[in-house]
Amino acid sequence: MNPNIYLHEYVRTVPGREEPYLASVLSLHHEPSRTKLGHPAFAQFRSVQTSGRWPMGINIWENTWAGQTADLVGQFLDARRDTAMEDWWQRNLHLRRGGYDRLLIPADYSPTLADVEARGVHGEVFLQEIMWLPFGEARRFLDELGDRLLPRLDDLGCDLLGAFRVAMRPRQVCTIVGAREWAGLAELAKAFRRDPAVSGWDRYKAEVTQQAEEMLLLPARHGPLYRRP
Amino acid sequence: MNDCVYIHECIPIEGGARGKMIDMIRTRWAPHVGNVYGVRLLGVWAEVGSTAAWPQVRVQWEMDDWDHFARAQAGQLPMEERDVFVTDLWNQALEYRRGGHSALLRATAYSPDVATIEADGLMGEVVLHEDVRSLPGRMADYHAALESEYRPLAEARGLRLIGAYEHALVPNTGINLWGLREWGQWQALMESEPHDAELREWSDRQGEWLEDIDGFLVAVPPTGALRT
Repeated sequence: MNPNIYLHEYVRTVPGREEPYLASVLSLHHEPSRTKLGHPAFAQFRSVQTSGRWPMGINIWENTWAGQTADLVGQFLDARRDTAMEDWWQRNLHLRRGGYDRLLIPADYSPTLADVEARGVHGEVFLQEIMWLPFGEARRFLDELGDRLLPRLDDLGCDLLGAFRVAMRPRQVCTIVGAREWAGLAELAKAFRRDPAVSGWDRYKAEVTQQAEEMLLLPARHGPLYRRP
Repeated sequence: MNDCVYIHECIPIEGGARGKMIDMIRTRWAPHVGNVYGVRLLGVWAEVGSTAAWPQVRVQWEMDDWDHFARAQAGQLPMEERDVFVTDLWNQALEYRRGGHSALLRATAYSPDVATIEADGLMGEVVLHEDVRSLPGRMADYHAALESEYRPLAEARGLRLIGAYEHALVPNTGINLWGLREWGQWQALMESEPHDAELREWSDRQGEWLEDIDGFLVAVPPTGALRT
């Protein structure tokens, strides 16, 4: 059981400034003048021009509804404004242009940050998929992923980083799978056709998905998901 | 019965100017169009970035009916010829925004007008905005079900209807706005969502009428210029 929620941020970075932006985001949480400590980053990525939209920065933060609400109150109520964050926002306009965020609700089996750290999850590349399903299908979709794909990932050289519903958007789910090496992504792609369990998962996914966007992601180089030589 | 006509604006912001844009609308634009044309500001909000696109501003204006809409637009446009104050605001705002997207909306009969929203204190600290796309021809059925089936569930959970609207020109498109008195009510709503069987049943049934629904938050910003 994963009791957390996750803030998922797409950031339209200034082209070429993806890594400086990702570092600047994390720097806010080390700001000495900030009275309130930030939440740890669950993951940070930049998109890559192999598949999907680019360039983008992606931040994912582990939180609770209480913590997320407190963060938003700090932005939108006079009495509890987070001025250090406001200063940071204005300082970093040269690194990013805007973005699009979602709040994610994990499947029970989706790992927490502590799980990810304990397992030493890392990867050269991560596959993120956001899918639009029929109303009422999202929970079943995550159950199917847990039953059919999840047990096969380790053999393919891959790890599940997250499987989520999207809060307030009942048709959307988001999944992220890491490949320890690029070869693992190739094994996963081959398994869609050759491995009975994985191909069954792929057929189910094709039957229920009405719209999808995929992205291949490189982990931020200062983060623990980055696979160092 | 609500015969009002609404203009809903979505304005992407340049850089860090979201608060300045909101302050301009609140302190100068709205008083001017209110005094001169009788156009009422239903709300000006910052889109809450953690739930949607950022930085963006949402604005919604209310007019009595289509005749009032026509008079108000004809009075202002083309602005360079008819309204120097709006012209100046528009040009000053180029520093804050380069474009946007607006929708002409008509309200469901059960949607409150601005006077009722203010009298009943419906707006609150935060608003749940829902972009709605119906299956072809099913918006009226959706709005009927929203009123008879969902509204009682929503109100029991602290959501107060500000408006359920359909696009006057684009078929099968609409917006719902729900006021929450305090941020803590949104937190409670989200915390209970995984275990709320009544809301889940409603959410799953929406496919009878809808192609999609996207919910996100918009907030009434602080009194000074919002700096993010």
